[in-house]
Amino acid sequence: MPVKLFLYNPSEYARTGHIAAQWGPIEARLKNAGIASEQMKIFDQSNRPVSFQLDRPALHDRSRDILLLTLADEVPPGRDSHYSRATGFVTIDSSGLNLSKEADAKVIAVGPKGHEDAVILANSRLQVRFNMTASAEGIEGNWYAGSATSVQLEGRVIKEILDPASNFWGHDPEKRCMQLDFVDVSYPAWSERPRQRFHLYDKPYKLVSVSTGPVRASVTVAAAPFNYRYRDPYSGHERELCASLYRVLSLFAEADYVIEELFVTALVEENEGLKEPVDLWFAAQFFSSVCFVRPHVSRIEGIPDWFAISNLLRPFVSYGFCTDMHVDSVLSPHPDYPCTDGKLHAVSWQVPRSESIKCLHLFSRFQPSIDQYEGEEFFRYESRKSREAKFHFEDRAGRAWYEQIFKPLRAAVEEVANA
Amino acid sequence: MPDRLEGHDLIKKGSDASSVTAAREACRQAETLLQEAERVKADVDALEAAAAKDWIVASRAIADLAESAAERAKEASAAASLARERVDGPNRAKLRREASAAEEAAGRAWTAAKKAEDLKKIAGNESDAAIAAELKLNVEEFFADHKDQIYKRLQECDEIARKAASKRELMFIAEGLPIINSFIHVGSSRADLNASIEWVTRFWGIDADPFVVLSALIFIWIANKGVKEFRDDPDETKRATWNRIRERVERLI
Repeated sequence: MPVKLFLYNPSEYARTGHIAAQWGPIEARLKNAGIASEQMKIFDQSNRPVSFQLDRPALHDRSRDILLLTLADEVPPGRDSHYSRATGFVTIDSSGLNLSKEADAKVIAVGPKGHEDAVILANSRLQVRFNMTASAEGIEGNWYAGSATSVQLEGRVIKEILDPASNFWGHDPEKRCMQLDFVDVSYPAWSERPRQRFHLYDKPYKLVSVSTGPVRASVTVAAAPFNYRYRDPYSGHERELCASLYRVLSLFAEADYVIEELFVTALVEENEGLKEPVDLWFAAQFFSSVCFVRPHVSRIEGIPDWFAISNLLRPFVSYGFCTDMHVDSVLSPHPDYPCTDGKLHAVSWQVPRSESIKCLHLFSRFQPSIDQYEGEEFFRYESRKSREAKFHFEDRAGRAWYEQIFKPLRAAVEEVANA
Repeated sequence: MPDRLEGHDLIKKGSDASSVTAAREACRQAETLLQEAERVKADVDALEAAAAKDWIVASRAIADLAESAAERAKEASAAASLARERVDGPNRAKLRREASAAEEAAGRAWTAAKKAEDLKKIAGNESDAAIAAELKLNVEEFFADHKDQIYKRLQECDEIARKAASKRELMFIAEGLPIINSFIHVGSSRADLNASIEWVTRFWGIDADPFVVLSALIFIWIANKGVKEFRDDPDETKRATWNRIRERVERLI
């Protein structure tokens, strides 16, 4: 018997795109309906097959398993912004036609298996090279771990986003984004100190898992394990947990953004005596350095969950960051960054403590329309284009935050309030 | 009475005649000044490696000549006005012809003055462009190292603009400015860039982004370099391309 998966749109306008749904409840319902996950097919309301994939980003934690769908049709607006009423559904069945769609997004591992130097997430629009080692290919320095050292976005002439000036004279080796400078892992309440800091920029990452399908390509990487020491409140003894920061990086088909989920976990197999994995609360500092000619940071005081750093001279490009937490301490330029020629714009920001953090890294380009007013001077024309670029990037980042992070489309097997 | 009248007529007649002569003379001088300004511009254009100082000297000379031409045009206009005021009395037809001649001369003088003014503006911009590139940003050496790539890219931009159905000028600028901005960013030091921005802000004093002004100046400087580089090129298309690029860029400011 087919299973209905209800769709929730919290916006006042019809939306479409990708939906992620927790796999656990769906799996249980499918089991009751006698549908094996390997046989399942998904159909929309018009009975057309829907692209989907099942992802397991953390092998140690099945609660993170998700079912991903790509909708072709729009989901009508819901009653309110609280997911209180489903306005669409898809059907899961074991019979029917398969949708054979070529995967747009893919993962390319660079380097020997088990010791990858980098992973490249690529789709038809975006290509992000995520560096796994402290050193980067052909560059001196040991501070590139866990950063995207190259981000290329579709475009006719200039493709690199982080260094848009690089089409003639080679890239600036210092350019990078999405880097985690450090994590502060919180101590228990009875501790004398609030947190323990672990720097990550100079330690290698390990590739944990790769998943590709018609909806998205994703990789899970783990930072080098660190020893988290705390005092046992019962015995008073010092204890130690070996934990790692996990980063799940996902690139959806045809998207120009990377969605990232972060969590710090101590695994059973790395900690003798631990009965189940433990997720630790942590805060993180991100770092990016971009070679923008005229960098500008856009931030809305009332919504401290996203910001965008944009180049407000041609070529107009932007890097936006959105998160489900607040963004604290945006330092632009980052003080004490040892780059003396001043051609890099270094930015750092912090995300406050949480058990897990979801964020989105948005890469945009703006090609303004050609529409000079009668008698408009060149300088005024260019200033107008610069303003248009700024509004465009702010709109893109704000919308990405709202649609992908704050109020995403949701799917659930139960038609209940707050699915 | 007759003597006085005759005398008055004579003065009047003499005055009208001198108005036409004065207008024509002023026109001749304005046109000579324009030719002189054009010669100065052609001389500096002809220099194989015109440096900022050459442009400064030339632009100042052209500015002086344009100012003088404007003065002459004013004189011609004044003479023509006088002639027009005096179109009266028995010789009205003749006086009207003379006034028309004076006005025609004044018109030509103003045309020459306007051309000289345009030349002054172009020379001023080219001088500022050379100052910006060579004395403020210090990008000459970097340009020399990468000029082939830059020329190639700008030629591609011109080709894209040429193929566009409309708004070719803006299309060319939209395609070319990223290259110029990137060139400034990579080719100059931050200190030189800041000094240049300050210089533009102080001397241009317009209500616009000084970086955009700087981009436009560097665009002019590179277009000039391109015209000089390819003016003896056997490929006529290339020569035409660079003349077109310079024309497009000169209209920026």
